Formats: sequence, C-alpha cells, structure tokens
Amino acid sequence: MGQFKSSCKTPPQHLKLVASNEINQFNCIHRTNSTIEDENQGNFTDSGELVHNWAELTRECLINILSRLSLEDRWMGAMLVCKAWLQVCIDPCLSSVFDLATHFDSVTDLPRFWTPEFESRIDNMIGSVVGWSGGSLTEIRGRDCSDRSLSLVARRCPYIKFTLSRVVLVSPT
Amino acid sequence: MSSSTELTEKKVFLLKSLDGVIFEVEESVAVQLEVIRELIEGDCARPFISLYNVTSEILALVIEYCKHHAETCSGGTSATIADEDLKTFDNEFMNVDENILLELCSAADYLDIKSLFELTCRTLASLIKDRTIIEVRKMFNVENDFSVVEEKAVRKEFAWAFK
Repeated sequence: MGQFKSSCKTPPQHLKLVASNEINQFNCIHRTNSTIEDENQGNFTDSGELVHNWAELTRECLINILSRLSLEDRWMGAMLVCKAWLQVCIDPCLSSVFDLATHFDSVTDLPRFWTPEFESRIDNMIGSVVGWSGGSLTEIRGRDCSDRSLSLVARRCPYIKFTLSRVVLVSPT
Repeated sequence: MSSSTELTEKKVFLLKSLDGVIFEVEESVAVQLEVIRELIEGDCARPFISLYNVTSEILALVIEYCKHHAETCSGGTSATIADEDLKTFDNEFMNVDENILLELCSAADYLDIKSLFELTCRTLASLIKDRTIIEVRKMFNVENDFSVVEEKAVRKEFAWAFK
C-alpha cells in the first residue's frame, strides 16, 4: 500500500537517515502508511497500488510540458486527451506566437499551392489562434494569408507583428 | 554517522519529507531548492524543514540530483567536461517510469529547482510526442472525460487540423 511501482529507485546509499534524539522528540520518523494515504489523497487501484496521475500536476506544469510540443502534436493529440488538456492547449500563453511556416514548407513546391482550400485552412487556423490568444497574439510567421485574416488579426491583436513574405503568393486564378 | 566534527565544519540542513523521513543535506545542496533558500538565509531552517508535498522516495531522488549537480559544478573540472558529465547524468536520471517522472516534475515545481523542472518537463513532453491519444491516456493514467458528443465537437471544430 502506498508504495511506488517496483521500478522506483531506492534512496542512494549516501543519504543516511538522521535519527538523533532531537529529531525523535518530534515523532516524525516513519509515520504509518495510512496517514500518508490520507494526506496524499492519491488514487488507489483495486489491488491497493497508489496511482499517480496528471491531475496532481499544476496547470503551470502542464502548460510548460505541452508548450514544448509542436502545434500539430498539440492539436492532433494533446487536445483530445481530456478536458483539462484541451483547456491548456487553448490557453492564451500558448498562442502568443503562431508559426505557420511548416504548413507552407510542404506545399510551396507545388505550382498553384494557394488554392481556395489552402486559404480556407490557413484562415481557419489563424481564426482559432486569434480567438484562443484573447488578443495576446504577438507574432505570426508564414508565407502569406488572406486579406480576411489580415484584417481579423489587425482588429483583434494590438501587439501583432507579421513575418510574412507575400511575394511568393501564387494566385489560384 | 561520521564524526561530529565533520558536521560542525560543513553546514548541514535537515529536510523532512511528507512521510516523515528526515534527510541530511549540505548547504550546497539545500540552496538549490529555491523554496528553502530564504529560510536558510533567514536562519529559520532549524531544527528541520518540512516539505509537505514530497514523499521520501522522491525527495531522495531530488537530493541525489542536486548533490550531483553541486559536486560537478564545484569540482574544478572544465566547463565543457562538467556540461558533458551533467548531460550524461541527467539522461540516466530521467530513466525512470512515468509515475516517478510526474512526481519529480511536481516536486521540482514545488521546491522551485529550475534545472530539474526544465529537465522533467522536457522529458515528459518527449514521451507525449509521437504517441497516439489513447497511448498517452494509458501511459499517464489520464481519464478520457469527453463524452462521445463532446469529442466529436472538438474534432469538428478543429477539423482543419486533422486533414
């Protein structure tokens, strides 16, 4: 009960427990497991094994971890893990810089890549990120976007800086 | 316990874990826990410092990490060798199961050890990356609290990302 899985490392040898009289009088060496469980409030499986989960991580921890994933990994994976993760994935602080460059890398070799579908997809992405950022979006990196998106971003995000290179635009018409 | 003269020569502090186990650490190790640095500086760290959110298993690992980092940084080796040594140690140190990683991450956050927090967050992110949603849920014991309808709605909202 209340133990970690067997793969847990044991405390290193050089860390010796201190058991002086001074400490013993505080009655603090090895309390019972039941007390630990009460205070931990962890989940227990049917076999009594203590199970740790993400709920114990603070939101700040989770934001830090998920911020290290690529946009694709967040949107196509993390976001659908559970509601708490969805909320973190759309947290404004994860939407301050929006890098679209990789989306362009895969298509710009093709002639006429700027199709109505592609434009609509980019518009949708920018629309979502603008919404999540709550106006805190500061930078969009990419090759181009529609006038509609430009106008939306200009209206909603006062601190925006665009890094676009419009010259490569290939019109579908 | 070694001789008491050693104790008086080196300043040591006692850290008490959630489950009541006391660890003796040298000052060079203790000050890496930002959360107790102020206590130490204000001389309020006696007789021991209680760390209510960290179990003895995790605290032992945290102390091992801080001790190694303190020794390596003060060992007099060149910065390049020290960096290399820490990198190897860190990689080996992260070779634990996911539950321990989560606990270490929480502990590093609570104890405010920036390098360990960075290390655990980076490692956890690398475990999530390239795994399916179902694998991630299983690996970290996350319950899927979306109803079928809600999950559909999220997928629909972000349909452009799933093309």
